[in-house]
Amino acid sequence: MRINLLPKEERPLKQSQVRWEFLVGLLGFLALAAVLVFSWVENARLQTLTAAHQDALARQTVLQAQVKNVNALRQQITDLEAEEQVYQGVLRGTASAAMVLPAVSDHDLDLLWIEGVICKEESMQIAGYTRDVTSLSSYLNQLQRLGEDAELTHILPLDGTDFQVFAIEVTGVRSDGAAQRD
Amino acid sequence: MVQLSAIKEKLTWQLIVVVFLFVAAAGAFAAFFLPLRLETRRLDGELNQLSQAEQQLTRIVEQRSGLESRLRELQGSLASHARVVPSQYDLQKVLNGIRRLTDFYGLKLESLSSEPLQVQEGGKVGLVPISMEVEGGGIMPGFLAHLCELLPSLGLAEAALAYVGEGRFMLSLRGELQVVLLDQASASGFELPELSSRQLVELPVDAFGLPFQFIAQFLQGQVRVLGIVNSGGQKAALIAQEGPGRWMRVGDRLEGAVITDINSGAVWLDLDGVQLQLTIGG
Repeated sequence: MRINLLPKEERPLKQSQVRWEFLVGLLGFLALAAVLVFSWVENARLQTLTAAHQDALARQTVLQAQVKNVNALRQQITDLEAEEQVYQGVLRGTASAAMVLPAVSDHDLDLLWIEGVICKEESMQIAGYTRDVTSLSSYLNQLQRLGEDAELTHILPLDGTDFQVFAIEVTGVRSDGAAQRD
Repeated sequence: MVQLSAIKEKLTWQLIVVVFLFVAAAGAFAAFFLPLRLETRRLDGELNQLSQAEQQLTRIVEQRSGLESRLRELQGSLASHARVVPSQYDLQKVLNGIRRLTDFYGLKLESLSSEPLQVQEGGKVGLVPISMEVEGGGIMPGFLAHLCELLPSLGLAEAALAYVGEGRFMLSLRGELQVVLLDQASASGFELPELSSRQLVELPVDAFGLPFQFIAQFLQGQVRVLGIVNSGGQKAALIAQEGPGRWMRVGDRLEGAVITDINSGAVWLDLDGVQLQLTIGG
């Protein structure tokens, strides 16, 4: 019988046995190595991101300058549109009933004469005389087509003659009235 | 003290190495890895934001070509408007243009006047009342249409057409010329185009008659046939008008009327298309 008098921690280990300090130390070493490797990887990633960030900032600076130009362009367009509206307002509503003068006088009634025509924006007054009331009726019908309404406002016979002096008012005259005729 | 000495007894170099390794790992984690990790996260976030901002900015920048074409379109449209709409500095040019147009149509400009500029609300537009009287043939509608084409900002308030006889008309126009108010004359692009002839619609003269007041004087005894004689096939009528009568034959003119026929009891007159028969004493 052999008695080992060495303290337990100083006794030689069996070949298959590993001291716990070694295992814990190995674990510590691996942890340190892992931290250093991950730090290195993270540092490389940081370098890449920093470069990408710098690029993005540079691109943004360029884009912002371009956006500034676009905004200036927008402002210019807004100003021009306001100017355009002024012109549109000036050019609107220049039509006049006077444009239908040819249509007013285009009749082939032998016994009806027009003395004069006064055209306003959307109405006209026609003064004339006739020796045949039927002609006047035909003329009135013809005028109906030029506007919304044609009304005989005045008719006065000249005593002792077959002459009748008349006045007609046409309202709601369309400036393209000539084209409305058949 | 007893515990400290007990720890001292247990503190071997192997244990110190193990502890050092763990402390070093923790220190490296805290000193290197963690700040790097935080920094990459921050940068990653910023990059995302920058990317979104870049997309938005790119979308705005992409509108540039559309905006440029709109700008060109507006500039073209304004330039064409500015050519036809006068400014307050172009009034003389407008009046000269109207004179030129009346000459072009062979019309006689009886009068042409303008009133002082009236500034409209907003101060960008002004009104210049214009009135004119033109005398001429049946081409008045063509003249009028051409005038409105030359001056599209001229609003016609009233156009009065009267027949004055012998195929001539008197056209009185009253309107308001709208002008744009500019800071300086050089900013105006107004220019009247060269006048070119166009298909004209003429007024049918037969549809018009002299003022009835004129016709009426022949019907109400102011013009009287006092007698008719037939001497050697030549007929003559004694016609009185506000005074002693005078002998007149076919073809003679009497105050705008032409004697077209004389028969035994009556005289036929042509008053610019209106045929009248005057009987002796009637």
